[in-house]
Amino acid sequence: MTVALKILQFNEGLCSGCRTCELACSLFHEGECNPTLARMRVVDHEVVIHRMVGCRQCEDPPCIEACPVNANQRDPNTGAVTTIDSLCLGCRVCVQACPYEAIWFSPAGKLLRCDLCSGDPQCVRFCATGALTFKLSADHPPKASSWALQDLFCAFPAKK
Amino acid sequence: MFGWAGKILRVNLSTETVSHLPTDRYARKYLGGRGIASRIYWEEVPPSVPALSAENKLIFMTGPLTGTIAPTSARTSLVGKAQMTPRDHYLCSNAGGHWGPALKLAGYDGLIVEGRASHPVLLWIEDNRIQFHSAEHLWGLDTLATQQRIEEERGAQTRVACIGPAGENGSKVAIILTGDGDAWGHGGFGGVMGWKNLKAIAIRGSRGVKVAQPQRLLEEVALAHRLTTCRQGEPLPPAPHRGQSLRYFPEKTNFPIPPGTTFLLDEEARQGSLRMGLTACGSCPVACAVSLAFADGSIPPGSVRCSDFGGWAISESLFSKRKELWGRVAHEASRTCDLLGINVYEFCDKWFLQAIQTGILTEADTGLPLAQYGSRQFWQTLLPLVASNQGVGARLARGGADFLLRLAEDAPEEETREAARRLYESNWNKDGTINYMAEGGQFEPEYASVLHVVLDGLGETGHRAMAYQTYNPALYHTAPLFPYGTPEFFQLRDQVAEKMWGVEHLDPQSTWSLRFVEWCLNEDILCNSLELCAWTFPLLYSAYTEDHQGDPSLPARLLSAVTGWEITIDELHRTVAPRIAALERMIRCREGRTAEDDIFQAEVFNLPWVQGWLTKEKARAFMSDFYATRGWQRDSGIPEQATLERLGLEDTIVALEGFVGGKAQSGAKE
Repeated sequence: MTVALKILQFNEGLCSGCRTCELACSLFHEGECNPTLARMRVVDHEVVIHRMVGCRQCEDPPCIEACPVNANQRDPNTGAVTTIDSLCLGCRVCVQACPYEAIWFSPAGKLLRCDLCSGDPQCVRFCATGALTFKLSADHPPKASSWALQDLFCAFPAKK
Repeated sequence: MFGWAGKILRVNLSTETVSHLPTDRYARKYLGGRGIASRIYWEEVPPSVPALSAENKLIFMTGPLTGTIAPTSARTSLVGKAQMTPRDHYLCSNAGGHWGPALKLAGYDGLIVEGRASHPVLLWIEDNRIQFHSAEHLWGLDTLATQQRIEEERGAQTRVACIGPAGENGSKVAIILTGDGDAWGHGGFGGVMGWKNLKAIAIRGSRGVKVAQPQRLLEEVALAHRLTTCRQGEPLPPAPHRGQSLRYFPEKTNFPIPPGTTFLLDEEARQGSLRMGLTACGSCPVACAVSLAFADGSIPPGSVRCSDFGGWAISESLFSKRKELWGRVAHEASRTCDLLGINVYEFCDKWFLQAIQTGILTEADTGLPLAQYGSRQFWQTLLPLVASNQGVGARLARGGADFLLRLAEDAPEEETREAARRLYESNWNKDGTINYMAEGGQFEPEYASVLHVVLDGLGETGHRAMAYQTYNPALYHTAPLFPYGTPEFFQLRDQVAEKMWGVEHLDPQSTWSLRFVEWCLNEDILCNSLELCAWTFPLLYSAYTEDHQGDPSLPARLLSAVTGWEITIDELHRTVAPRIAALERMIRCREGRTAEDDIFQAEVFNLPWVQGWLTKEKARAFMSDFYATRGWQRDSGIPEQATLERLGLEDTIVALEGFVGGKAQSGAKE
């Protein structure tokens, strides 16, 4: 059976590098404006080119496989890969395992990874140029893509 | 503290020492940015200090909103003794980009740079770690190479403010640049920084800005976004001034670009020889700038905004005799200014072309290929000479005002002296700030511009934004829905005027303008102190609401959500803004500014578009009325003692004794 999925996409051709997304993420999750606490990042690739780093919701996530205590799990309700903080040992094996370098720790030692804000990603909500979108897409299978102008990020089952 | 980081960093380059100043000493009274920086200037930089001296300071201040998600909050004010002609004086410059947020994230609301290093220095700020590194290996590099080199050494995501060769040579037209094209442009602060032997200030911060009410902030920001732009997929145009306001100019004003003009670089982008994208300052939903990267690498990558466009593009088409605008020559010329650290406005402004056309500049005297004005050869000959202080460049590096004033005194021919004087007087105010009245005909004549271009005296285009966008809803927020000068345009403007100031018809030349002008100047001060973009706020208009009205109360609500300080925009207008205005006026009076300096130079009244609606007497009367509105003396413009008491500036009253007859005396009490 094919499940309709919502996909978080990043279109680098539209990104202005304003980093509102990072601040929306940290403000929403941590209550302060601090890019080092954001779960996604925009990095300068070249002088005028910005790229996004964040969880791509892999079909077969290496972070789940790598975790010795099963703290990384796929949420059965949403399909998003999430981390259960109470189980996490802080061993950082998943940081090593992630091919996209999309998992990191806060200075205080807390694992930070995108959780799609339970279905209303704040980075998308506050992206004014439309570089970030989160929408139903039949065209794009939820597979981890190679870097391309239009990057696919995350899959999320659409609400019926 | 919420919003503010809590301390201001002070570094002394002479002694390589570091100390701190508590922000809460200033925060509630002066907000941040321009307000706090001006207060520190009042306390620490006396009138006798020249711009190029170890005693002069570069006071960088962020605002309480800087570093947060508040839209357009990534700006930073810079206050210091500026290199102006005819005399050095107080000036506040302002830049966007990402440097201010980095300073805030490192834990500092501001940075005061004092003293003078004995050799080229790079100031490195990484949270608590403040270091003075040798910058010998960076000296001589352009602004892009400097930043790339620092990133190689210090890691990616390092934010740098630096000078180019022009700044190293102490030039009056030198800027301090950050990132790929944002700059503190006016006042020659790049030259001040170079004189201090400070090549660059590099920052990486890992702290956050604490927010009092996170959920409320998210909602206020969502509303601000709704007023400034639309979501993808909605049947409306994106933010009107997104991606370089300049390309909307033909529809928005009577700017001399005919509608339908082809922009050559847009054409190149369509053909694929150049990659064009959007660039925004931190937290900005508008993204007014455009980034350009050429496939053949012939011009270094970087971003451009309206400042890089106007005069350069026109000069290019003047030379090529083509109708198309904005080709590689214009872009390369403005980009070269950025790289060399030269203010892009200086040589693309009208005065320079007029100086050529009227024969003030000659090939024999300057050694420049003047007949080639607007060509690649012309700009690539001139700009390096200016940056390196060679040949005629040494005279031009002192700025157009200085160049013309000297010619007006020293030129061998009477005719040249007279022409240079007239050109100087019509393009510069008495305090050395640029007089935009000389541009002429672009905007409606109104008293607001009289005040903005003279009284505000900050000399930065950003500061005229407030009056322009308020008078002119066709600019920015509602373009292109309300083309300039249409009945709908005037109707909308009157609706907003009625709501804001209770006047039925906004007549730019009526006396009610006093209130309007006061409101504009206050709003300007608040924007530059909260650190919001004066091209985006106060959001009087919006393309995305049904009645096309915006919501000017947003800045105060953003401030409350971030800091927890419940204060309304009206209270800010009644207390903080006039306090900062009076303080700035005190600074200027202390430095010898008189009411006479608030009147245009004589030549301005002879300009065709000024004749007929503004005379010197009218300007003086209006200025007098305005002083009274502010609680300043009608004749001298010096703040009344009662006004200073009412605004909580009692400690400045002692300085009044020094302002005898409207003139600051030497040795005035501090």
